[in-house]
Amino acid sequence: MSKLLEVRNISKYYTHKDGWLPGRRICALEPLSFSLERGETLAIMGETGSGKSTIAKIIAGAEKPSSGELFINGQALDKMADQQRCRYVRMIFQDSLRSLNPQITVGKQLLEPLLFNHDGRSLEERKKRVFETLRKVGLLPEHYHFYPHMLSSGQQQRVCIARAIVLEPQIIVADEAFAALDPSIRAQIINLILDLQQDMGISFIFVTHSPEIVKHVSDKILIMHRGKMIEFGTTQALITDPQESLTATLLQADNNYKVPLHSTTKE
Amino acid sequence: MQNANIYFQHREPSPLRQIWLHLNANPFAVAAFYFLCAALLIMIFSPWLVPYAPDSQFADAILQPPSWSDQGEIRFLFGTDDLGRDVLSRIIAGSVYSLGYPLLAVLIAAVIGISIGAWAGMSRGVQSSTLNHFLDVILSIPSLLLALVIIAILGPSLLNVMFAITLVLIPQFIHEVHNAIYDERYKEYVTASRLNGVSRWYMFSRVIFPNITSRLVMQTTFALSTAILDIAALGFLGLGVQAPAPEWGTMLARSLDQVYVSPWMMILPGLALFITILSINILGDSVRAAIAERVRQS
Repeated sequence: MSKLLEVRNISKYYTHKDGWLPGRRICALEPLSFSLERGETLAIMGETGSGKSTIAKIIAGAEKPSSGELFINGQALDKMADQQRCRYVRMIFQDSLRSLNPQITVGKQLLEPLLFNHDGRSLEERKKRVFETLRKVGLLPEHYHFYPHMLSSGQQQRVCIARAIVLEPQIIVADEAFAALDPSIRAQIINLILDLQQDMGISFIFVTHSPEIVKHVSDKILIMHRGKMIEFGTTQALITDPQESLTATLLQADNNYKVPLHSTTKE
Repeated sequence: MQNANIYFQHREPSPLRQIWLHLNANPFAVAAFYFLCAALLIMIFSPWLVPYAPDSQFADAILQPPSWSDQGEIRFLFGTDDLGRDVLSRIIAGSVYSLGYPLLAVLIAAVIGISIGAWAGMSRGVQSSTLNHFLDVILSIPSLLLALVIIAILGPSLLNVMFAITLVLIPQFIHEVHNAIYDERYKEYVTASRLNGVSRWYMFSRVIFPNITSRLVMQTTFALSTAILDIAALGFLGLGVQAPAPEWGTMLARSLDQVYVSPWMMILPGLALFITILSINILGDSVRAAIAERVRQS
């Protein structure tokens, strides 16, 4: 199989500037490399502030890496303009409501990526494409005329997914896209994503805290700790034979989050 | 007739309509809105609405009290002034000077200020900073004082007053737009649009601009009340609109001499000025409150 995405030595440094003094450099991401094949799902896990969102944002193009290169099918992804990049990589944000423009209807927001990548399609064809996409994510063509605040949070998340798949990309990056949803909707959305992945052959990269989702969905796992990649391997390998204790803790789902009996109110 | 709407469908209103509904719930805002609409219509149609020409003098009816007074006559509804001119006609004709010219000044300032502010907001670094602070020196002088300086150099005339007021308002618009865009541009929906590969013009006009209109509306109402007050104040001081023209501030200044003999000459134009500015401020504040309410709810 050919490598779809190749990440070579990307790193990210922020300069924390305070007044006139030269700023301090803060390392968010130390150089790391990995690769992903077509149709695979990669889960990025780690503690808060470990740089996992930074990787997601760099791959999606929301942030520029301080060094390193990204290749998609052998083409340099980080040299591409946003307009070209969005045909390959799309992003789903953490907060669906905030990532939708509150003043524009859902339909117009979905037309937006098509407007600049329409390949000579007419407005009617583009609208048809938006309607199809809305159906694909389980919404109705009527939702075209809705404003984001009129939808429930699950529907908003579906709109965000629709926006990600409307250009038929090869990779979708989801930055903790499921964290804010309640369990039943989360299950719906995850199944939706799995269906889309089967239909369209998309690779997924997602950042998450939840080991259940990781076990259910992902092919590979990448564990981050303080800006370093400490482990990278198949889900099978990492669960059965974790090399680091952090990996074991993060992937050990069942009793980790359970609240002790005494702390709950007795009902 | 066939009714296609069989099912009751609850439609949540669009953002603009929500603001309108919030405004409608506030009786003062509605009153201010209707008053301003009426004032605008009166201003536009003033040449046809005035009962007499604002400059025509009636020698037989000098210092006639308003019609509701015992000595009043119905043909002069608001009475006449010391030269026998109809006060109603003068107030109606004066709306062009006291409301129309400030509107024009605000409009010009808004067009220039918003363009420069948008340019500053959409660019980065030195370019943004330069554009943003390019007219800041004007902000250091109060608007009335700057108008006085310009008049001292160029002489008193309406054109110079307009020039001064427009010049003062431009940097305020620049700052407001620039700051509004800076507040918006790192929000997630802007990043999402950027990743859609939209052009810079599309980004400003369709993505960011609809989200800063509320702040622009507030800034515009604020600028309008400033402009009205400044033109009236300069007219009152005899530095703006010159005497025979029926500007409300000028009329107030003229009435000072006869304030005990004919108080209506002072009260009526003053009232017009007061209600106009009050309703502009109420409307601006209500729009701000309505927008804040909408943001809070969503």
